[in-house]
Amino acid sequence: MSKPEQFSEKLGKNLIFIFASISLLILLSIVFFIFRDGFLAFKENGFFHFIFGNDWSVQDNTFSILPLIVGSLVVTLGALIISVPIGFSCAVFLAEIAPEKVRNIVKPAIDILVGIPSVVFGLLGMILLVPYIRNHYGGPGLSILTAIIVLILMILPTIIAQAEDSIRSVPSSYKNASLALGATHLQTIWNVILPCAKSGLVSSVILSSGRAIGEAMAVYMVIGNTFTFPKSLLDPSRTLTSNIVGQIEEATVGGAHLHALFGCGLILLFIVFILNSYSFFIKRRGCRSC
Amino acid sequence: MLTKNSQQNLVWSILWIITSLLMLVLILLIGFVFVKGAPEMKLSFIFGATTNGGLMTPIVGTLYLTIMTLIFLIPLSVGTALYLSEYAKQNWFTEFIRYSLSSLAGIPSIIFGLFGVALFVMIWFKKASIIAGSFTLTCLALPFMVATTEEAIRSIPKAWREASYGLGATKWYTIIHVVLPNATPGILTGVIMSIGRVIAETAPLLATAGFSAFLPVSPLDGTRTLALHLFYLATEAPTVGGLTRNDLLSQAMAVGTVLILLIILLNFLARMIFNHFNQKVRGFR
Repeated sequence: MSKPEQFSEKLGKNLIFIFASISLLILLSIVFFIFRDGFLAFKENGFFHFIFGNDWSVQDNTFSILPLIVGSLVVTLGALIISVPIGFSCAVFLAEIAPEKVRNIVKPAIDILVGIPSVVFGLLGMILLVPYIRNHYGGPGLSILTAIIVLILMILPTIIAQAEDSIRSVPSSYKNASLALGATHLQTIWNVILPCAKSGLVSSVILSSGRAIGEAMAVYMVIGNTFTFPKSLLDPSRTLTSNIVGQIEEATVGGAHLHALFGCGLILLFIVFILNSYSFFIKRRGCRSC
Repeated sequence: MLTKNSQQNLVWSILWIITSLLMLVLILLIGFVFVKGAPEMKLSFIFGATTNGGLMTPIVGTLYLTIMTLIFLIPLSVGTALYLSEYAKQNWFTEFIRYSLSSLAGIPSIIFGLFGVALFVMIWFKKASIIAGSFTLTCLALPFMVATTEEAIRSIPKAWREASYGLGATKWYTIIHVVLPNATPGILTGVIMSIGRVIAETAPLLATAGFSAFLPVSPLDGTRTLALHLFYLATEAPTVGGLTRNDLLSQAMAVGTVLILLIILLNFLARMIFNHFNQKVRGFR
C-alpha cells in the first residue's frame, strides 16, 4: 500500500468511528436526560404522590399525574378496540381477496395516509367532529370520544399496512396445502393463515398502540385538555402527551415544572417499553413454533 | 345453517364493504381538506409575508429545517451504518447499539421534544432556534435512517466486495467505490422518508424551533414549519387584524392541502427510486 492510500484508509476508518460514536453519545444522552429529569420529578413530588395523586398546579409547584395516565390509557384502548377488528378485516381483504387492480390502488393510498401529518387529522377533528359531537351528543364537543375517533382514523392505515405485510409473508405452501386438503379459502384464512401470521399481527397492534399512546398533537387539539378525571366519554380530559404539548413552552425555564413533564415522558416511555417487550416476546415464541 | 360457500361469500362481501367504506371515509376526509383549502390557495397567500397572514415563513422555515437536519443526519447515519455493517465485530456491544437504536425508533416524538428542550434549548443554544430544532429532528430520525441505510448496505452482494478486494482495493476504497454508490438509491429512499417526517412532525419542534413569524436568516433564529403553522392557526386566537376564527381555520386547511400534496409527492419519489433500485439489483443477480 502506498502512503496516501494508507492515510485515506486510516482517515476513513476514523471518520466512520467518530460518526458512530456521536450516534451512540446521542443515544446515551437521550436516555440519561429522560431518566435523570424524570427521577427528579419522582423525588420532588414523592413517587407515590406523583403517580397516584390528583393535582397539577404550577403555582403551588405540586405535580401528580394519575388522571393523565387514565386519560392516555382510555383513549388508546378505545381507539384500539375499534381499529383492530376493522384494520385486520381490511388487511385480510387486501392480502387475500382483493383483485390485483384494487390492491394496486389501495396499497399506495394507505402508504400515503400513514405519512399524513397528525396536525391535519387534529384539524379535521376540530372542524368536523367537535361541532358534530357537541350538537348531537351534548358536552363541550372537545372530549375523549372525539380523541378516540381521531386516533382510530390515524392508526388504521398503520395497522392495515403492517398486518397486510405479515399476512402476505405466510408461505404460500401452507395455504396451498390447506386448500388441497379440501378446506375453503375462508377456512384456510381462519385456521391456517391468521394463526401463522399471529406474531406479525400482534406486533402491528403493538406498533399502532405505541403510535396512539404517543400521539400528541392531534389528541391535544380535540381532547379539551382539562385536568380532571373523566366521568363519561363526552367529558374533556387530558393525556400524558397532550399535557406535555400544552406546557412545554412555558416549562423551558426549567425547574420542577420541566421535571414533572419529564416524569410524564418517563411514564410514557415505561408503557411503550412494556408494549415493545411484549411484542419481542411474542416474536420469539412465534419463531419457535413455526 | 349456511353452506360453506355461502358462508364464505357472506364474509367476502362483509370484508368488501368494510374496506370500501373505510377508504371512502378517508378519501372524503382528504377531499374535504382539499375542497376547503383550494379557495385559499392564491399566490398572494402562498408567497405572502407571514406577518400579513401568508405562508412565506413556514415554507422557508420548512426548507431551512429540512436542509439543516439532513446536513447532520446523513453523515451521522451513513457513518454509523457503515460502522455497524463493515467495521464492527459482531459481538454483544454491536448488538447493544443495534438494540438501543431500534428501541429508540419506538419512542413517542414528544419525548424527543422534551429532550431537545432540556439539552439543545436550555444548555447548548440558550434559545429555541432552527439549529436546536434540527438537532432535535436529527435525534428523532437517526434510528430510522441508520436502519434503512444498513439494510441498503447489507443488500449489496458480498461477491462485489470480494471482487473489489481481489483486485487489490483497500477496504476504504471499496466502501467509497463499490459499497456506497450501490447503496445510494436505498439511502436516498431513507432520506426522502426522513424528509417526510421532518415535514410531518410537530411535537418535537413545538418548543425547540421557536415560533417566529419573521423570515429566518441565521440558524440561531426561530422559525416555524408548515405543520407548526397549521397548529398555531388552528389553536391560537386571531392576532392579525380583521381575521375571524373561521378565516384562520380555512387558512389552516390550505396549509393542510400543501402538506398532503408534499407527502404525496415524496411518496411518489420514494416509490420511483425504490423500483429503480430493485430492478438494478435483480438485473445483476
